[in-house]
Amino acid sequence: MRETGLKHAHILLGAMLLAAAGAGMAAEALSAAQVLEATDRSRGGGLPGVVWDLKITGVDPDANENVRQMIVKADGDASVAETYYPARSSGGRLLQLGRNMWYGRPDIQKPVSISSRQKMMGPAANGDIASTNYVKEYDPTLMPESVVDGEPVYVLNLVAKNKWVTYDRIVYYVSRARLVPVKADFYTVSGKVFKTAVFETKNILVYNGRNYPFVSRMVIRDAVVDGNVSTLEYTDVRIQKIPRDELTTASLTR
Amino acid sequence: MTWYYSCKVRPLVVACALAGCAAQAQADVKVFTQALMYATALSPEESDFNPANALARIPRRQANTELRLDLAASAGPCKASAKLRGRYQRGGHEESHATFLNQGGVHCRAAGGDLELAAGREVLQWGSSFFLSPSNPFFIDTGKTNPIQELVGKDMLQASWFPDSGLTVSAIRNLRHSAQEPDKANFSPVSALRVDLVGDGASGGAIVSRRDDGVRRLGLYGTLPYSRALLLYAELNAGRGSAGWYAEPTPDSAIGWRMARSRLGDTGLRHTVLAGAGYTFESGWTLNAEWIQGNEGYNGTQRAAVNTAAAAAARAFPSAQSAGLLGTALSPNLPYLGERYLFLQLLRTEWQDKGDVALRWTRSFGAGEGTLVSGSFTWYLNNHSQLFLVASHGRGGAPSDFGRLIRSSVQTGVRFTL
Repeated sequence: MRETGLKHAHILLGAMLLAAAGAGMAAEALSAAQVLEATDRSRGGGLPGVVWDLKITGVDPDANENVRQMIVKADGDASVAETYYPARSSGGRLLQLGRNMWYGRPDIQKPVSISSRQKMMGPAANGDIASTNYVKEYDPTLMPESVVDGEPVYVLNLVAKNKWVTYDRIVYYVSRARLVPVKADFYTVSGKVFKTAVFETKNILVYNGRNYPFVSRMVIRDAVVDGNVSTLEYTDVRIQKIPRDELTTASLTR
Repeated sequence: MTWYYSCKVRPLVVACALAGCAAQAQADVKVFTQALMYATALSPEESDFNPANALARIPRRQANTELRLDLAASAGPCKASAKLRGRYQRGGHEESHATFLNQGGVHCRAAGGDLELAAGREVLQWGSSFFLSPSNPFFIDTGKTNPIQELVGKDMLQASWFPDSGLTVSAIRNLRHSAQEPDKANFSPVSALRVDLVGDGASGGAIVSRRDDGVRRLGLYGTLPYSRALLLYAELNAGRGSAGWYAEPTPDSAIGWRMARSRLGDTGLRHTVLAGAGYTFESGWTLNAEWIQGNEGYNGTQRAAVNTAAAAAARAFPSAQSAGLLGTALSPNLPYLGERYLFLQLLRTEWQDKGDVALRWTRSFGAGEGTLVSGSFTWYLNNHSQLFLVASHGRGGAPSDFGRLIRSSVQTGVRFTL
């Protein structure tokens, strides 16, 4: 029943497959936008129909754990995330079309319009659940390159193009060889870091005969409240055509 | 993959049978099951509209058990769904039970997915408002002010065309109400043409409708995410005619008054405007404010006439004529009773991962001035169960919008989701 295009692979294999392409692209002195576009693909952005399972585990400073599991379907900058765990939230769906967001559930007869700040799907921000289209939402500039955990990285300064995106500014660390995100610092409008994230990219997505790395784990730490950590685990990533009627508000309550 | 998608043979057969696709082994089936048990305490208002509570006979205590089974299946270009309900209710010395289909039907795509044909029982909703949805000729009630009660579906035919990803054009014909329809006497089928737009930075739409009784309306609705925390939204409804019931003096009758649908052919413009905003604070609480103004309810003179007619009928109660007048006065088929309203809601979902809280305050201005304060609270017991409490209290007495039948109510119970 499912697309068989996805193959889970060890990060080393992914690195080997992509190193040559990455090195070739790097040799051409990629622009900030090109780096960002390639990076978005590893988080579902700009792909014509991609589906993944997402498990979000939120831990607060008192060590209380909040687990949420969902299926995310993304097509361009449209996406829908449907919760299936815990049971009391099952069927809850977050629909994002451009900057419009709605939340619906089978037992709610009218979908609710929500802002990107309003959390309806557990501990993670709505913008972290949906596919990532930073290239559309942020103006990127290249900063001096750096090294993260021994890996050379591009450092991108992303400034929000408008006031409705999830974060005002992001400093994004992108592997030079693999063109995938390895770390991000999220800033408030006043210039303070309020969240940091580290990424793992162990999933491989096969698209148009090519292998693309896809994020497998994102750990977000609250820089203000120590011990506040959300872990997003991405599995079963696959290319799949999303029927148009699944990306409508009418589908949220069916 | 998960229990949610891996329902086994019986639900598959039931759902596929609804879609006429029992042989489709590849059908994707979803099952959503909830059981609710709750008790309700009510304080009936002994107003002229309900003399000594002898007309509406609202029980002071009520117990309900509900089973809600939602089935959905898709196979090929078609999707079928059925929201089945079983309900047992005991109030005072009376018991009742019912099983029914509240929503359900078949949707099929054609023309490469650009066209969808649908037939079934639906609750059609759009826009962002909570208090009411003035642009909606099928369901003005949003169902948002009581998280326990469901709106009752109506039988519809729909043909929708998706010329591009952000545009939907739908022709809708509302055929009939269901057996559970709370206001059968005032039902009139509706035909409508709706255009729904979702742009990159905003969403909205327009709907033109005509009730079979002749009332015509144009509805507009739109939502603008102004920032990551602020939503702005609005609805407009305008048209000719009203299917509402108005009090008229009839000196030759025993009561001296009657209720009549005397504005069906009115040529004056009737309208309602709703302007709303929702702001989410850093703490996670969301405040919604909605202002509603229009002339589709009673003006001061018309309201005074209805109140006078009700007082006269109450004096003649329990004659059949007075009961008929009071029954109509309680369900006058108007979208709202007054002229101006302010609605505020403070909402927090998944608060500390322990529950949801919604506090609501509604004020009616002008004739029939009054206030309704309500709140709903949900506490997550575990992954499957929630305790809930829904309470409301109306101030302003019988002449107000909120004191004609019930002064206050408290509902509490448990919701179990499989």
